[in-house]
Parts: sequence; C-alpha cells; structure tokens
Amino acid sequence: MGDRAKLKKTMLSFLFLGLPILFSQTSLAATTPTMIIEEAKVAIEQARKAGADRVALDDFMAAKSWLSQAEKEYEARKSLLARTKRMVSSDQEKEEEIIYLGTVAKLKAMTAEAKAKTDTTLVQLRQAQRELGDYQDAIEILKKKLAEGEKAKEAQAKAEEERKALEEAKQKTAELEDQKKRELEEARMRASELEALKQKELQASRLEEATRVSQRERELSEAKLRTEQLAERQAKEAAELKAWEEKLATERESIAALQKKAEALEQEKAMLAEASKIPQATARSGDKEIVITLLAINLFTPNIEITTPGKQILDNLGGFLNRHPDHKVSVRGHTDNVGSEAMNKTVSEKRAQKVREYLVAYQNVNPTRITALGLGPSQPVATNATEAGRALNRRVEIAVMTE
Amino acid sequence: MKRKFNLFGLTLCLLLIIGSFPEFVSAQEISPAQEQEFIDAKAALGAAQKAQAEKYAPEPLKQAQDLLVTVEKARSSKDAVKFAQASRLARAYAELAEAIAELRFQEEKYASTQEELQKAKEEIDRMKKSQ
Repeated sequence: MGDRAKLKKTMLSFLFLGLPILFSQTSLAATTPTMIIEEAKVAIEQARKAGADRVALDDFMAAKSWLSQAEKEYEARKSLLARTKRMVSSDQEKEEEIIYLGTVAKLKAMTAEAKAKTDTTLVQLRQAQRELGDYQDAIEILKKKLAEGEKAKEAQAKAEEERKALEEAKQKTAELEDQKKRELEEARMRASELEALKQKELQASRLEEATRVSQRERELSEAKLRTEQLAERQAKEAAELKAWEEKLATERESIAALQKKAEALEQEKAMLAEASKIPQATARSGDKEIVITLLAINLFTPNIEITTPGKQILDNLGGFLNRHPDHKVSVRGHTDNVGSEAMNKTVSEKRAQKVREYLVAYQNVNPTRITALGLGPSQPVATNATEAGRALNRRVEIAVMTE
Repeated sequence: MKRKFNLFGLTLCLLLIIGSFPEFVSAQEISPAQEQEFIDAKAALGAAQKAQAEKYAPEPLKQAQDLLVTVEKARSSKDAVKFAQASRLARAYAELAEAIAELRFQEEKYASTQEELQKAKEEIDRMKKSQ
C-alpha cells in the first residue's frame, strides 16, 4: 500500500512537472478542455456584465463564436465515434484544439471585458473631468470672490487705517498747532527778553565803550605827555649830550693841550737838561721859556768884544739852538746899576746884539727866529751892593721860547 | 489494482511523449493566410507595446511574445496548424495586453482625476470656510 502511494505520488509529480514543460512547447495553457470552456464562459459572462455586449460587441461576439466552436469540438469529442477513435489513437490533438479554441474565446472575452471596462472608465473619467472642470471653475470663482472679499477687506482696512491716520493727523495737527502757539509765545517772550538783554548789553557796551574811549583818551593824553616829556628829556639829553660832547671836546682839547703842554714841558725839561750841560752857562725854566744865563765876564772883553772862551760858550749855545730850530730865541742884555741907566741900556743892548750876531754869523742860527734886547739894570738877579752881586747882574740871557 | 494504475500511468506518459513531438505527427506547408495571421499577431504586439503594455500588462504581453517564439519554432518544424494556432493566440494575448494597458492607463488617469477632484472639493470646502 505504501509502495502504491509512493508510485502514485511519483506519477502525479511527473504529470504536474511534465505538463508545463509540454505546454510551454505547445504554447497552450496547462488546463483541460472542460476547464477552459468553463473559464471562457465565465470570462464572457464577466464581459457581458462589464457591458462588452454594448461597447465591445466585436470582441464579445468573437469570444462567443470561439466558445461556440470549442463547445462544438468538445461535444464532438464526446460522441460515440470519437470515443471509439480515441481507443485506437491519441486524443491529444483534439484536446489541444479545444483548449486553443477555449483559450482564444476566453482571451477575446477578457479583451472585450477590458475594452468595456475601459469604455466605462472613460465615461467615468470624462464625467470626473467634467466635474473637475466644474470644480475648478467653482474654485476660480471662489478665488475671485475671495480675492474680491480680500480686496474689499483690504480696502475697508485701508479705509479704516486712513480714517485712523486722518484722525491721528488731525490730532497731531491740533497738538502741533498748540505746540506751535506755545513755542511762538515762548519765542515772543524770549525775543522780548532777548531785546531787553540786548538793550542792557548795548547800554553796557556803550558805557563800556565810553569808558574805554575816555580811558583811551586818557591814555592818549598820558602818552602824549609822556611823549612830550620823553621828547623834552630827549632834547635835554641831546643838549646834555651835546654839552657833554662839547665838554668832552673841550676836555679832549684841554687834554690835548695838556698833553701838548706836557709834551712841551717834557721838551722844555729835556731842553733845560740839555741847556744845563752847556759849559759856563746856567739854565732855568721861566714863563714859557728856558732862560740860559751867560755871565758877561765869561763872554766879553771890557770893550764888549767876545772872548775866545766866550766864543766857545757861544758855539755850544749855537749847537743847542740849532738842535731846536723851531723855537724862537730872544737875547736879552742886563747890566748892574753902576753908571747911568741909558749907558747901561746901551751896554746891555750891545752885549745882546753881539751875542745875536755871533750866533747868526758863526752858528748859522736863522736870524728871523732870534731877536736882541737890552734891558739895562732893570732886572737884577743879585744885589748890586757887592761886586759878586754886580758880576751876577752883568749878564746876557738867551730866552728860548718853549711855545 | 496496482497493475491497473501502472498501465494507466504508462499510457499517459506515452501519450505525453508522443504529444511533445507533434512535428513528427503533422508536417504541412504554411499558407499565405496563415502568414498573414502571424503578421497580424506581430502588429497587435506592436500596438500593445505602444500602449505601454510592458508597464500595465506585462503577463499577457509576455505570453504573446512567447507565443510568437513558438510560432517561429512551428515555422521551422513546418507545423502549419501550430503556426496558425500560436499566431492567433499571440494576437489574442497581444490584443488583451493592449486592452488591459489601455484600461489601466485610463484607470490611472481616472484615479488621478479623482484625486484632483477630491483636492478641488477640499479646496472648495476650505475656501467656503474661510469666506
């Protein structure tokens, strides 16, 4: 029993595995004629239900026709003759024929059904599209309405806003006007205050200006005074300066004179020193002159002739005078008081003359610079009471001018 | 009982084996009318493909394509009956694929329209409420 079941199972497996292979080669579905006819019938019924008999009549009719052929073949297969034939030959071909017819019938029915459904769908689609169009129109209308409503709302809102803005503006304007009035009033007050202040300032400034002017004037007069004083002082100072200058010049002159005098004195001193060196002569400084005294006894004979020693003395004197050629010379003859005055005067003149002549003749002293003068006994240097004194009074003085 | 079953099984297998080699059974020339049916089947297949059957009805389209291969095989084996049958079946499958594709396409379109319709309705409701 187990073996049989196993074999049956093997056979059935072969059948179910082999059939698809077989039908894949023959391109027919793995089914029986009965099944396919039933399926075709079902398909035709479904197609009919789908309305294929109205909208896909060709396919529907074709399906029916193919089914009818399949049924016919199937009926023929069931006949006695066919059954007898089947006993001696294979029934495969006929069965395939029926399956083929049934399959075509089924396919046609399915096609008809699909077409019918397509038609229905198309109708529904058109309906839906129409509805959609209507709805879209409605949407557009609603949108427009909404937009209009929005616009109206916006306009209303805008109007409200404008009204509010107008109200605010009015209020603001009123406030501004009030403020303006206040400001104007304040400005007026401020202006009047300012004016008063200005006046005050003006007065103050005028006063200040007047003060300043008077101060200036004062300063100016002071300055003028100062200038005058300064000018006076300057003039005074100039005068003083001039005086000082003059004084200075005088001082300078006096200094120069003094210097000159000093120089002259120096020269006189030198000359005096030099004269003192002349033998048999005495020298002394007099009033603007150097007086060289030569005793008559050392120069003259009683006849008033110049002795040899006297000539030597006069030569020395001549040398001295020639060393100082710019000084004028005055030869003065003196006597004692013995005898008359006239005679003494003549004697004194003679003596002076003799000395002058000798100096001009033998010592080449310029005659224009030398003069001779007889003074007689008028200027004694010693007493005439004694011989010694009288000898000293009988003399010739050679005065060399120092200026 | 066991012998009877074995006999039935053997007979069935024999029939199947014979059936799998039909070219040995019937070999006929393919007529111009049959050739026309083949051409019609191919045209139907082209129409189905044009209707986007690959997308909407791939099974019947595949059946039609397989059947056309069978047709070519039948032509090789000079099986005129099978050539004609497979051609007609291929055409029927192709036409079915085209019809289904057209149906699916329109259904899609319809569904899309319905969706739009629904949205439009909702939009209208919303607008009405907001009005």
